[in-house]
Amino acid sequence: MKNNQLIRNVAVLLVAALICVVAGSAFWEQQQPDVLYTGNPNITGVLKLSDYNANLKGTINDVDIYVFDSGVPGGKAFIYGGTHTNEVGSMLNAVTYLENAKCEAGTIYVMVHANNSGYTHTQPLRGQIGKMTFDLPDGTVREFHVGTRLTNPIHQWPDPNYRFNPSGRELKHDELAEIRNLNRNHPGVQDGYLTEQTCWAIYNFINTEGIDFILDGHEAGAESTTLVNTLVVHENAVPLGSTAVMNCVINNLPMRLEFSGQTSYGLSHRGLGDNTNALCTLFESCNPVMGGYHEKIDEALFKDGISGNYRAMWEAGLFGNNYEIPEEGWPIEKRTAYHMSISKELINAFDTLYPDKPIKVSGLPDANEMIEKGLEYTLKSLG
Amino acid sequence: MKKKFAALLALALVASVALTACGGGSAPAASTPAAGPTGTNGGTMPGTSQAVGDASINTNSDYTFRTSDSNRVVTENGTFTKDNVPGPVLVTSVGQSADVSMLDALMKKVGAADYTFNSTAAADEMANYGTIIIACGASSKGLGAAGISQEDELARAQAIVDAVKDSDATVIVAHLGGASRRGALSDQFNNMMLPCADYIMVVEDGNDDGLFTDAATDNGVPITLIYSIADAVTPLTELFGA
Repeated sequence: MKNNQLIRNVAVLLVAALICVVAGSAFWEQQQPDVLYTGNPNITGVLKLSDYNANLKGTINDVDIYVFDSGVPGGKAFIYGGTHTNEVGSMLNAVTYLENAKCEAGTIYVMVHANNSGYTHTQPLRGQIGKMTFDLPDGTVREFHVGTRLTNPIHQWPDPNYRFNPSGRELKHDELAEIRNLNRNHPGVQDGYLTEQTCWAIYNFINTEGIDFILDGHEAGAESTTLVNTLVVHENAVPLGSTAVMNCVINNLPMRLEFSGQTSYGLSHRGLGDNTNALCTLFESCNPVMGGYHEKIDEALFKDGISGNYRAMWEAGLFGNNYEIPEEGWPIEKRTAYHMSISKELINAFDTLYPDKPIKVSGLPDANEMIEKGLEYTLKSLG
Repeated sequence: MKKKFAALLALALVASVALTACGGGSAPAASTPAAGPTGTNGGTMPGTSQAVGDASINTNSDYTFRTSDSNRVVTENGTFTKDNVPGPVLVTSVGQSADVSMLDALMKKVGAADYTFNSTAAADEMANYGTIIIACGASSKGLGAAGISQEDELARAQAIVDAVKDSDATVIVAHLGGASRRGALSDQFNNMMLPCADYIMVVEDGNDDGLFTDAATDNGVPITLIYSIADAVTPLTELFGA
């Protein structure tokens, strides 16, 4: 009798342990960093955010910044993704630059995972997948983590009860979690919370390296009609942004320009635009995952961007004529191509508007080919 | 001892269930709207007009679209040529939307020479110009960026109307922002400026209720409807191109 009870108890413990291992493996896997292709021979250096804020040394957000220095003095561009880690089009644009770009004049800096901590978790109860995969023609697979818009609480906890940092954004009540939002705390605090430290490192990097303009990549839900396919610019960056957007629309990319709000406290175009000499821009592509009316957030929704709900809303005329929600959705290759196109046109526009600071890029995939063939054909194999 | 062991078992089970419940890959789908803002910078109320593919009828009115993917520029109510746009030329805004910056970029693109760009030009400056291009459309962010209150911008717009209505200057009203530059605030500026127009240029999806075509008819002035903002290159080249 006693032995039977012991066996039963041990069995229950083993089952519990098994469930813990299975559940824990998902958490463990989410903690593992993406393997990036860094074999592009045009990469001339790698910086780290801790080079610009030593407080980040040894933390998850001590992120790499890849340098493409042409050797020809000129303008300096900073293109980055991964501020919000479920807005994957921006991250894959940075990956596209990392794997393919060649800087012909000036210098381009590329950061793939701006808030690396955000990749290590998903939002509880949201039922979101944690990674996306691409099957390459050579039979290999590329994997990229998908996270959430906030820093992981295991890296920054607890949230304060009140915070008013140099961004000018007052955090209280329901907004307190935004202390873990990289795009609400610029220009940051050198010795503040991890997210604030990361913002400050970016701010100091821009000032130290003399960055001329930045592109912070994002994605928005289709109901955000003033944001989708929109380049938001600080008032100092209006000529740069309008020229880039104009060239995109002439190339049949339905993009628009919008000004940074004066009270967009802590957002990169406001917080960095006001506090650095860089011309600050932010681009948003359309990702149904980011909206409030999406279906199940599985890998297909992230990659194919096909949402029956959003298609029906568009057909009902709820989004105006600003953009289309086609039957084929907003697939990731199209969103990435849009990010790539606007970032390339920003480089071209800066080169035109500031001839004393030339900056030129080559080597990027053709946007139409990217859309037609998919990222499977532009991503590099890890072998 | 048994109680402690049972409690330990219960804790282990609770922990395992809790871990499973907030795991990533195999969690159930969310069927309700996600918490938090819908976009990076927060969303706004969607518009109400029907999207346009080819020329079509709007669901909210009897308006029939003239432009289409294959017929991107349509001019009605007469013609408007280079002879109608004497210099010097001013490009300004009422409402301070980003469309005026796009117009500036388009003017540069077509090689327009010797024009002045001043999005906040004062009414008393109008007398200095032979042609005044006014980009209509309101943006609260644009007003903020320009450091102008909505009331001050409306007053400035009214002063411009007063300055140009009896002048010899040619006034071009350009509405390039489409449907997103319609609505109560934008239409205050649109309605103020349209009676002054000698020529109207409009991205047609901003005309799905016929506001601009009706104004052109009422005032007997030519209007050019364009399919997208990029198509403004065509009339701007004809009028101001190098």
